[in-house]
Amino acid sequence: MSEIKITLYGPALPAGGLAMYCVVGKNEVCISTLLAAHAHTIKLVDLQASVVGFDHDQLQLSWRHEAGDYSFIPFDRSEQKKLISTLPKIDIPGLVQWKRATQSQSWVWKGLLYTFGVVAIAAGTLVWQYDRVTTWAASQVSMKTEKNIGESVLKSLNASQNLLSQGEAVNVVRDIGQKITAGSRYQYQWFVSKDPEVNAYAIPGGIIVVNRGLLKLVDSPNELAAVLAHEVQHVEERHALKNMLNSAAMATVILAVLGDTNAVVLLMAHQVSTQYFSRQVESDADLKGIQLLQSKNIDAGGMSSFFKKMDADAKKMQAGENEGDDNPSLVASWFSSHPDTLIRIQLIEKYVNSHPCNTCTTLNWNQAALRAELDHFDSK
Amino acid sequence: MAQFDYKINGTDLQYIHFRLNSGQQVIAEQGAMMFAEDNITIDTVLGDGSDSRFGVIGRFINAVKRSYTGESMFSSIYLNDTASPQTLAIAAPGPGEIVPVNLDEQGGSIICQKGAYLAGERGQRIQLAFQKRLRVGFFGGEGFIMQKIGGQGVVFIHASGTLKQVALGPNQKLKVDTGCLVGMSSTVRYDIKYAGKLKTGLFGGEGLFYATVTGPGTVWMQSLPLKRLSKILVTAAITGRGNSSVLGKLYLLLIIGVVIFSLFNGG
Repeated sequence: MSEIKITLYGPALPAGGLAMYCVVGKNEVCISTLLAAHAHTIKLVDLQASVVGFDHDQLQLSWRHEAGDYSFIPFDRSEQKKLISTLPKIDIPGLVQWKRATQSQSWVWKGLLYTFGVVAIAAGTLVWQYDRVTTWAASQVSMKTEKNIGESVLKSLNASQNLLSQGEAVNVVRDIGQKITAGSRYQYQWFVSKDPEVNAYAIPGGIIVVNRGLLKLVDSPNELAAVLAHEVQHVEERHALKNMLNSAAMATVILAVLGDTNAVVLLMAHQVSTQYFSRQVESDADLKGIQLLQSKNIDAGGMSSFFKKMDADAKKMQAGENEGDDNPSLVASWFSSHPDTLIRIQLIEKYVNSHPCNTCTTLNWNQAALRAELDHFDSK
Repeated sequence: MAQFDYKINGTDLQYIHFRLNSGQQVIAEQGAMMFAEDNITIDTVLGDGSDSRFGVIGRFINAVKRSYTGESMFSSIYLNDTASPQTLAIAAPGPGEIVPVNLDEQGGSIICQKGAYLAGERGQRIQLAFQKRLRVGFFGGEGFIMQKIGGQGVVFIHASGTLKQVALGPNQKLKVDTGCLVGMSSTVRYDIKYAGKLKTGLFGGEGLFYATVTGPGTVWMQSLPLKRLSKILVTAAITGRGNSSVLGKLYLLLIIGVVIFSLFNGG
């Protein structure tokens, strides 16, 4: 029988207790010291177990005495383990509850820890696989919804600037566009805007708008096809939807972190996320656009030649060579939404060189009619 | 180490008057010194000055943990390295009472509310005691962090109000208003109980919960928690003269009434 170090508490004893030893027998517990003072022998059936201590993890065994309650508590954790292991399998009232109480304590903290861990891992995965998550979320939006969004955008766009849906310029764009988009799940609509900026853009649901400025800059039908293929891929890959989801997610995170916030912060966040988003998306649309062109047997050389033209124009503008130009910011606007043109040219040429297309051909267009219509705009 | 020769002076704004023998030293929280005789050398140590298994980094981490318990990261050591006794006075940081606690009589450690530690012997450790019981942490009035003072000898703790020491026998229970608990020995079980009746909870003025402490061990309680004191003072400071009674206002109204009445009936 091993001796276990305990502290004895009881009436007429110091408040801090007395350091003593206890020996657990078959039916009783003997408590004693070397001095044999305050020695007790208690039957196990008379003991009552309860939880004590600041951390609610200490075991107290107490018993009734005519002078008041006595109790003893193991000196430390290892002594407590020893005591529990040496206690015979007699049903001491409260011992089962004690075990349950001390265990449930650790369950609560383990539960909290695991919950926190799961949330942290989920958040980490979400950040890590962010692109996949937005792609999945975008795929959950039905074509009908996408089309409705596109229609409403088109409506507001139509109110602010005059979009042409017919005429020679639209015919040229539509002819080439339909060649590219044959067999698509989207029903494309083609528009030409009178805007002199060099730009083209896609609206969800298959609406493509080409600015007059861009039509003036393209020299060959393959260049126009390349621009259109790029914009078509924005639609096919649902980039605008993803961007909307991206901004919504950003706003959610900001609201969750900052609590209350104002519109300016959200707008800035939207700007930043769009900026980040556009770099990836533009390159993506470039390469997928080339793939699309080649799958339709259209020569993709127009993509890089058009970009080079833009780049040259931009350099010329920076050097101040075209001061006499009535609108020097035309190309700059395209650059603001399509950054890193040089890097993109490199990527495009690399891709085209490694994926040569022997069956690809150049397109034809009614250039004279297009020029005539563009000149007609200018004269107005 | 020989027992301190000290005397606690004052009633509500107290200080400890030490008579340090040759070689004796007192460790106290920073800024607590009132005066010291010229021959006492004052030194500053990181944390409570105790060593750590992990060297300097461990000591630094201990000091940071200590700072979460309402103490500063550094503490001051006052050493008498002369042959003759020297005088040192350590003052309480606010109104209240200083209570000397002999750790040897409390099983080697006590658990106190944040910032209760004032001074003690070298070698005592001030550690962070984290409340593992969620409901006690939220509703117990002491928060999740308390301080555990361990070691040997006398430690001086301080709390606002008048301090009451109660020795609890095994299974003896005491209901305490949440926030009034200053300290307890480590064997004391600290829990909270729902006030029981909604009426008591809402209108009893003690909140929805009582703290209960169960023996064996010793508990220290304060008559006026700092939170309550500061609330009274702030209210008084904002309303100006404190709360004037309703009767006083009525009396004032009466006088005004009489004056107005006499104005119209004068002459």
